[in-house]
Amino acid sequence: MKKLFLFAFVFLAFCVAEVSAAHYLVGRVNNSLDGVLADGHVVVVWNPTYGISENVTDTIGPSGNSGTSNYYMVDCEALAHSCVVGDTLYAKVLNTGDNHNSENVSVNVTGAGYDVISSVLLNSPINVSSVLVDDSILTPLNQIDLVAASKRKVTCTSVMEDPEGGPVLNASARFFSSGSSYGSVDDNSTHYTNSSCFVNSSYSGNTSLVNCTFEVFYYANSGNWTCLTSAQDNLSMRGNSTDGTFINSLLSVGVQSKIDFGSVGTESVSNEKIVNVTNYGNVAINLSLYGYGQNPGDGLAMNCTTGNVTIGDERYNLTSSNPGLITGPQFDSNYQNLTGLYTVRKFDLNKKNNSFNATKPTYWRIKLHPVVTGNCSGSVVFGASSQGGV
Amino acid sequence: MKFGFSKKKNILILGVFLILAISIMLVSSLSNSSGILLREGKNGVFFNVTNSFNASTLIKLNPEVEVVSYKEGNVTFGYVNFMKGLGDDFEIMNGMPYEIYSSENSTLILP
Repeated sequence: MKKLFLFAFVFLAFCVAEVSAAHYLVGRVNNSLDGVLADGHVVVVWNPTYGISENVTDTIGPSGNSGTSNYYMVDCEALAHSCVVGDTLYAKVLNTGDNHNSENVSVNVTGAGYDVISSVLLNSPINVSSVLVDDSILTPLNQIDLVAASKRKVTCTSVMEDPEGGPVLNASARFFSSGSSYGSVDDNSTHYTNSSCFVNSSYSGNTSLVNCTFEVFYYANSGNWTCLTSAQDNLSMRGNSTDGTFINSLLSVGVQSKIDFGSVGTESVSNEKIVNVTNYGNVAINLSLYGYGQNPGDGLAMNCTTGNVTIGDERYNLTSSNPGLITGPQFDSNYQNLTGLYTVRKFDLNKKNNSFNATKPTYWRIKLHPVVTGNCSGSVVFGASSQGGV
Repeated sequence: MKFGFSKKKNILILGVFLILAISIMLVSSLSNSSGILLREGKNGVFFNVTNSFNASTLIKLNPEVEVVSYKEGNVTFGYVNFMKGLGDDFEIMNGMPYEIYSSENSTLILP
């Protein structure tokens, strides 16, 4: 009796267990307005009561359950909490990397053999075109000239349109050098971000004109730069496009306005004066130097009330300090003489960056002869040079 | 007395099992004659046919059939009578259990 009972139970259990229980939901996804096929995209279906993490999915088209282009088909009884008549479920196309998705569509589960979900359009990302990045000086095109010790306004302009006619949202842009990338952190030398670009939505028809500006510092790296501008539609699909430009080299140097040697006795050497030199460009520089008394080329370092200081008696050291009182021979040996002609000296002052302020001291002295009295004044012209110095 | 009651109960349970089993077999055996009787809604069906055929063929012959499905492991495969037919147009095999959803009471016509 027991064996017979067991056989009957197993037989019946087998019959009941192996019959499927399914309730299919079918739907259509139309190709996007920017020409991307819906086939191959993934549809997710979920019950909002239990959240989207509990879901069933299908691939649209021939490779999915439906086997038919533009259609998908899921069994909602395969959800962890199996669907029942009266449930309201949601479906949408997931963004699987090509920035196409869909809005949510709902369906009520009925007692029919299957239910049809409303058709949905594969949503396109924002279309971005006509990107142009430049400064206010448009000729020559695609070249940016920075401003010494200051900032240059660079504008990245583009035309944006949501193919579905929706608004252009969260327009932003990043401007970065060839050694950097879109995802790098902001750095005045290499990477700038504007997260609140100006959107003129009444530009033309459904298109918007988007302006993203950057205040680019004088020490931004010279070379190729890219502006990548992007925006989202109302389904958070982001479109982007780029334009390139070139930031020119900027040679610039800054020094304090006056070197005051104070009172210097005749036939003596002045105290050493420190003159700080700052690189206000975007490339490493050497120094070009020359001096004059009243007019360039006059062969003087200073013109005095009585007499003058010849050009060779004003001297400098660009690398090391020699403080304290020194003799004439020490003055001659430890300092280089100023010249009346433009002379490039090796200085190797790098450009500014986040950890280097690009300022370096230089050391100056002057020697007076007996015939000199009264007040003396002259000019020293500092220049930045990319040439190799001596 | 106690032993007698238990024996009667076992026989009763076994009887219920057998009736259910015979019902399933009856549905299956009907496929050999004039067709399988379907009620509106879900029907568990075994086919007893000599030549297999596809789900699409079954639906063409029986427009009232909305869905044909079967289970393999934990996965359910189905063919839905929507548009020109959606889903895997699987082969219906002899002796396998299938679920057929019919929109009305009907007799299933087989190829």
